[in-house]
Amino acid sequence: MAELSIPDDLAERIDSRVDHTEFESSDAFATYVLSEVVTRAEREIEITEASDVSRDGVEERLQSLGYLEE
Amino acid sequence: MSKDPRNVVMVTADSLRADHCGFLNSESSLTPTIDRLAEDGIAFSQAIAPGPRTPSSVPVTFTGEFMSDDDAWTMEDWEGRQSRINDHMGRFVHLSEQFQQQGYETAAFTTNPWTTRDSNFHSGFDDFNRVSANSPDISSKHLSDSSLFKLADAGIEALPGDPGGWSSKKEWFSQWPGYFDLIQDRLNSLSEPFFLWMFILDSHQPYITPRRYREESAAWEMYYSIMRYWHGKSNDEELPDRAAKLTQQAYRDAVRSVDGFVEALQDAVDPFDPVTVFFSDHGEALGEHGNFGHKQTLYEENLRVPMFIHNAGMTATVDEQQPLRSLPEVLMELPNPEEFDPHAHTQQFVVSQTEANRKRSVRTSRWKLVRTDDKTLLYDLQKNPEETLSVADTYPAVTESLVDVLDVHDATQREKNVVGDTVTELLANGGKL
Repeated sequence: MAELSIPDDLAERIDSRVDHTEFESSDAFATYVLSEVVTRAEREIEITEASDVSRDGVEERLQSLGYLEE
Repeated sequence: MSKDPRNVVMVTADSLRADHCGFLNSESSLTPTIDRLAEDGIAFSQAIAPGPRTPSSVPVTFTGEFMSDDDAWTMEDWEGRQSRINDHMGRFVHLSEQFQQQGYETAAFTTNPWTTRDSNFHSGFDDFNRVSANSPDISSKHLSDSSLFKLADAGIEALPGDPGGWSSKKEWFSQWPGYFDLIQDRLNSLSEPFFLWMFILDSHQPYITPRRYREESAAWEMYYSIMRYWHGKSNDEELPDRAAKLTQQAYRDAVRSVDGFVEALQDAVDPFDPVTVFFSDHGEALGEHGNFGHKQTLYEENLRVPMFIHNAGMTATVDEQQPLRSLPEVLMELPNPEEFDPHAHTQQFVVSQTEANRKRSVRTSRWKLVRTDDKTLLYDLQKNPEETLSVADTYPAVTESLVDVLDVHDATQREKNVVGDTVTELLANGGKL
């Protein structure tokens, strides 16, 4: 694991956000935030693969398997 | 002992009930192979799905995260629902991507329409195969090896138009024997270590099962129960007793077929010595609470699922609650399972949610609290496993404690939603808020 330094006041602000949540620590929260930021930034510059060739019939597939009743 | 990372095979059986697997219910004899593998390996007696249907379960299982609330879609908008899953899968480095990052070759065969390229499930798989009628990956002839299906398909396809909506109903015939040879071929071409995921639909309604696995239902009984079920749903009618019994029978035969898949797969993967993980994405109602199939409810028949890990070098029974939501953490230990602790990712409190997040539950081994917008229910799973009587007023301290757990969960989800929305805005504005 690598260590990251942040200003004390930022650490305090993170502490207050983490209170009363399932995050076990401020480290866990910071890791969560940074992971999402980096993951999505990386995906922004990836060339995304085309979706399935045809979207025809998707609704019918879902309907036939009972997924669109509620 | 070799330190080379192990091959990992993961099987998801759609809609398979825990109580129809013998290793979880001694009165059931439907799954001899599944039972043997569970008993030889690590059997989880309280594996809990994060949601009662595929869209509320599998994306959460793959990412370890619940989907965020989003006003941009409704349950009536299937494209919005699919897009929501797509966005969710894009927020996190999910299961298949984690294996890819570790140098695994990854392959998938999926039959469920919620786990496709359009919902971003292909990401992380070097080879992604959607098993469906109009798949770009495989021919529809692989949907089933039934002679009747092949004959009907050839005949109906030759007719003009789409009589009876056949093109969409072909999905009903998705049976593993039709495409198993493709899985076998793929296995023989994968470089090691590999991660192979198969999501099979054989225990999903309608329960159409190859004859070799039908021990209780004649073909006409199987088809009658399906037609009667759809008629009842269309007309909002309760299923008559006879049709209900035939449906339950057909389901049991479908479970036998799933066990047949596991048996065939075991033979196929044996030369590759993989660690195999098996689970169901959610359960299935067979008349409990007046329901059949899988609705937006959080009862035990919906959430408690079978799960085992085989060939990890240990035999164990895990009786603590194992949330499927923790599967990414579990699976990341399986490449080198020598120090795997099967109890390490169990949880005292397990939260589940319906797709729109309107119903949430928190479960312990004894209690289940279910919360909707307008009510709070508490079930005593030991004294009332049928979940027919809320005892929220009888046990106010338990209710309050579990409400607190859910409040903390809800606060966490709100926090994560803020992060997600902020990142979306950041990226949309080129890095500026």
